[in-house]
Amino acid sequence: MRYAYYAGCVTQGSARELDQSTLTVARRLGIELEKMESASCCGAGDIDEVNLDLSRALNARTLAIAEQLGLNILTVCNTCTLTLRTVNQDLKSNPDLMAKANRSLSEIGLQYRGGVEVTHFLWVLVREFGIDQLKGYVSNPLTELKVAPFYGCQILRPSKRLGFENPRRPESLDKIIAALGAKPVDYEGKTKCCGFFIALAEEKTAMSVLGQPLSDATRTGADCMVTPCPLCHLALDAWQSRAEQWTGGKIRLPIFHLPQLIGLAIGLQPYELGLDRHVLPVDSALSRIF
Amino acid sequence: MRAKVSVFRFNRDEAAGPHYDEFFVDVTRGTTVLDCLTQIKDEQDGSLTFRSSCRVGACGDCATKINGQASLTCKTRALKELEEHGYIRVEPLPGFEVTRDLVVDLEPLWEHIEEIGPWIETREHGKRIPFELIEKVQRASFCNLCGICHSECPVVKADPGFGGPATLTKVYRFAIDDRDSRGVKRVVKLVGGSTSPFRCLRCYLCEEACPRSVGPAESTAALRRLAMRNGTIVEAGIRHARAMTKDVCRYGKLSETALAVRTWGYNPLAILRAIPLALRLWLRGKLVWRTEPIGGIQDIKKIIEATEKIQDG
Repeated sequence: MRYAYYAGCVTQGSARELDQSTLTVARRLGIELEKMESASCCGAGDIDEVNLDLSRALNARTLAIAEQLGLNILTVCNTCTLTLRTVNQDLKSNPDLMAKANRSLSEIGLQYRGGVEVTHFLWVLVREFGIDQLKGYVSNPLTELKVAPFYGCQILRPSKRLGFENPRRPESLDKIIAALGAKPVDYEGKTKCCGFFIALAEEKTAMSVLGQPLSDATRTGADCMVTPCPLCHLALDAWQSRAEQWTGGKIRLPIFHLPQLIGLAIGLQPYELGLDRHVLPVDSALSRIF
Repeated sequence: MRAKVSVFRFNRDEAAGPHYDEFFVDVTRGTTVLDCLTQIKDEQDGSLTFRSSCRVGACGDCATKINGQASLTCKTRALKELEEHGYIRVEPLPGFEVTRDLVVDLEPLWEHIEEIGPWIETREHGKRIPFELIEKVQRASFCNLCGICHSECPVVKADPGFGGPATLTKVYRFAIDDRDSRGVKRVVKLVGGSTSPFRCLRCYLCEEACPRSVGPAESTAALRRLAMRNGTIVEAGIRHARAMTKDVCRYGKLSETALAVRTWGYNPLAILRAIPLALRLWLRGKLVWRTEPIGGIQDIKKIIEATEKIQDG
């Protein structure tokens, strides 16, 4: 099982612990990841609103690099997944758009032929790697932990671009939590929004949006939350104290990146997973594990 | 099959207050949730109040919340809900004031729609719409103002002053119609205001919930493109998108910390307010000070140049 690993900007910037834990966990599980060091930012839906052709050409380059490697792309970020999949689908379904992007790529001697698929680490674990195989790796079951799964928007919606599972009632993250021996809790906010996209531009509204899943999860008695997206993680972890104005009190809910939670269950140590890099300490959750 | 249907009840003239009543109805393969409600009203409780009209998903009158999801009762199969939940719970559309039982007051949405002037303004009568625009205008015109997207939108929930996805879709429908004399001016007018398309969270809850597949999030994205191309007023969302594009052209990736400062337009108050958070990020090694270009930056620059040349024709 081998993939071209597209980390994305935030994963290699403020959320480097996600990069670290992804590589460590994948190595332990025997999933080979070839890091795409020269890949550019996906544009996160912003570049395509400034210049759609440029967004398609830059992402076509990323897809073409993976095609040269003969590998499909694996991401660990919801927004990278949606952006790359959107460009990939548009290019594959419209020969004119593909030809236009390839005219730009020909400047650097590259061509994209449409032979690459874009997937997310969460999806690979559930479908290709398999829940049963994952269970086999669990040496430290997280039996005392109640975990709130937070999917994030752009791994579920729009389903015509993503389509891995029912966006209203997703199960993938819940299944992984259960496979690790922990108890997934059900709560209304698990498929809702973290507010990240307007957090800089309009903090007040974003924090009120962020407050909903945090307070919903806390009401269910969750010990921590896990998310497959570094942007959601940044909002839930770094901005959590600012959202408390809308949650009716202190929350202090530890937030894990998906590979960090897996790492703890398969016998890795906190320092190998970058758990000291969170804004909110995860000690309360760790005390239930170790 | 007998199905348990739990229905939200509220009548301001009765002392009972908001509560749920449980009913049992017969359902078969083709039974919709609207059929269940009609059966209850006809055979068990004539006072149950709900809206419906066309029964085929065209009018949008029967929008409610079914098992937690805003949907049309006439398009929702009872058996499917029973398979997934074991029961059917019907509640009024969230985010609106309840008039009685399942009927809500959609007035706040109408006010937003009215405000944008939802009609074509033209002096050239008889002008035809260009063929290539028909599909786009038609898709946006399919919106029947059922209120589902408005009720799903987290920004509307946080600030009712935001017009929401349906209003923005309506703006888009007229902005791209070249018979309309206001055209893109409609979009430019929104920038910096309470119904700016840059307030959208890109959560796609509206896109997914829309029973007519009108594409409200796509329409809103198209409005952002139009606003950036045609407007002179700049707000944080525009600065953000432009700064990000510049970063990628320069480094091939984002310069996260600088991106925040540029999104705020170097506003000293916003920067001051961010200091406590910045300190917390810095303490955990999460503040990115330096941005080095990615390995393939020369290739990125060549692609940008080539793309601009192609665009210039």
